[in-house]
Amino acid sequence: MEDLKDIIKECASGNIRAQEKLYRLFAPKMFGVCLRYAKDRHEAEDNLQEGFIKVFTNIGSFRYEGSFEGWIRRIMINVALGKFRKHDVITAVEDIGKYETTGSADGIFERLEAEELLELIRQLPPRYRMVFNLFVLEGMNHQEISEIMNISVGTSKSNLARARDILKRKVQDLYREVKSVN
Amino acid sequence: MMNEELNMDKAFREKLENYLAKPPDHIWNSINGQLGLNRKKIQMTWYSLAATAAVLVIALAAGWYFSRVLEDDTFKTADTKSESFNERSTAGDIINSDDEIIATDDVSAGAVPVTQFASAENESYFINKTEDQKLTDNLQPDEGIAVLAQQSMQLIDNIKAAFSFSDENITLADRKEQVISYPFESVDKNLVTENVILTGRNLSEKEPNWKMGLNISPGYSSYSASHGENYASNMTYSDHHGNSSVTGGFSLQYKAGKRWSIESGVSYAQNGHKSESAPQSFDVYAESDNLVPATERLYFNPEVDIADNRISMNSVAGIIDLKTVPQGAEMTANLEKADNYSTVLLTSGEFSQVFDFLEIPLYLRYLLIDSRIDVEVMGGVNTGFVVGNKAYIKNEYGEQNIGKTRDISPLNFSGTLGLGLTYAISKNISLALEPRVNYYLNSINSNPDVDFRPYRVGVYTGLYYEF
Repeated sequence: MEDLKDIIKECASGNIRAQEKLYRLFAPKMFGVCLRYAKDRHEAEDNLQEGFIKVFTNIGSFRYEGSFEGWIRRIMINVALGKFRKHDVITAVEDIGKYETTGSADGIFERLEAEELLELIRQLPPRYRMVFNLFVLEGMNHQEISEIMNISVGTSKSNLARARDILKRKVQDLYREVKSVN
Repeated sequence: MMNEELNMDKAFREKLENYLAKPPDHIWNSINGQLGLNRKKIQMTWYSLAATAAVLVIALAAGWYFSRVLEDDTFKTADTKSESFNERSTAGDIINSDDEIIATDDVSAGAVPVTQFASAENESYFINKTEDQKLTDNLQPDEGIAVLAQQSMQLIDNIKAAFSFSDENITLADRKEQVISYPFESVDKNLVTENVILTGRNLSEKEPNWKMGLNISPGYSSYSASHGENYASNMTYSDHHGNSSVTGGFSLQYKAGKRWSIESGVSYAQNGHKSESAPQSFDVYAESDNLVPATERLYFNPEVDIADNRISMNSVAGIIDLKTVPQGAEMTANLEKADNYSTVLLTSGEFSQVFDFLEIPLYLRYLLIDSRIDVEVMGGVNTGFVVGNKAYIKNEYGEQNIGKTRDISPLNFSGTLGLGLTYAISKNISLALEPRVNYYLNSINSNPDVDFRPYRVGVYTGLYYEF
């Protein structure tokens, strides 16, 4: 199998075949990432396209320090963040502790399929979706999230709490519906 | 509650962290297309940069060239004047600055290519201005001029004496040696040496004798023709118009004298004409067409000869052998005629006849005005090889090649006259604009009943390189 390093080098020199190879290698994973950050599939496709164009345009600046997949993933997230900044106004209001947590939904999430979880995330309001993704799936802390989203740490925490609350409610509703059908 | 959140996060992480989803195929196509556009943009940026760089280089080279020309021109005057004047000023001489410098480039005429002869140590070579002033102050204007002329002659004699060149045919190299060995001051000696070297170098630079380039011209072509009576009686008399075409080629010129040059090369030219609506035979179709004003409808209605399994018609350039009946055309019998040409072809549209020539010119050019924009007259003959011979009908079925003209001579001769304006863009590159008239000296059709001589006019634009 061709070394990833060679493919990256070929991509940097503008080799179209290498670019396609790289795309085929990473596109499914990155599309999964894009689907989590986008409000719908169409936006996810746009982000994937825009992200890969940035990858190929800037691949020459990749220094082989750290994971290449991480580098691409970061580009995809940045595209999503950029779009979020452009379209969704970030309110600077401190809203920590504003939302009451709802009842327990323990055990339900484990029983859901990936696609169902994705759908739940996509239904979150944009800012909550961003914070939830960054915290839960990218493993960032609130300090980091506050910096890249230009919000306070408190807001980040509040948004995360609110996102979890919404997800729990939704999953409880879903569970209730399933139970009533059965 | 904390555990519940942790479990929830864990469930999302486990199922979505490595989640794969196949993107639609069109995304790669879009990415590829976008990257292609980016590559083109980058290429265009490079081309733009290269073009800008080329323009800058040309501008710099032109600037350097023209500044060098200016330096060359001023070298013998301004620099030498100031230096020698300073030298002599210190020696206390009063010298008319007009008399200081005697410069000539005319080495070929036997004159000495020297700029400066002034020297404080060689006072005898110069005339003391204070004494001259006394003389001229008491003289009439004419007498004053005579005295000044005498003084100038005396100065020249002094210079001649100083160089004491007995042999007028002495070589430049010899002169250089002699000038350097003459006991002038160091500044003067340097000037003299530099000047001789410079003049020598300029002389050694060969004037460009050759010029080559490409030219192109939009043109208008038509013909003059006469026909035998028999031929003419069966010929289609119609309203003929000239044809527009593009002519161009490669030109090579050799400068044979100061004003004369010879030109040859190879060029492509097209001569043709069109024939518009005019009926020859008044059959039912043509007659109905004839009722319609010509500007509203074009049709072609010649008499044709159907014999020996071929169709032919008499055109102004000769007999055209039709390959086939054109699409959209109708054939009817002309009951008024009983000879060979008793059939009539009728089609709407326009008939045209075109001849392509490959011409090898031999021109003589004479330079009338030698200036920034040179003006030349030119004239000569072309050997024209017929490389294309076609006839067309253009109707609702498109432009159809219907056949070719019979008896066209493969080799013909034409004459050309023109007036050329040439503008020197740089030392070696020039742009030319040249209106020309070209007329075929012989009938290009060898049929004795047909005398067909095409002509064309055009304004040639050319880019030339001298070497």
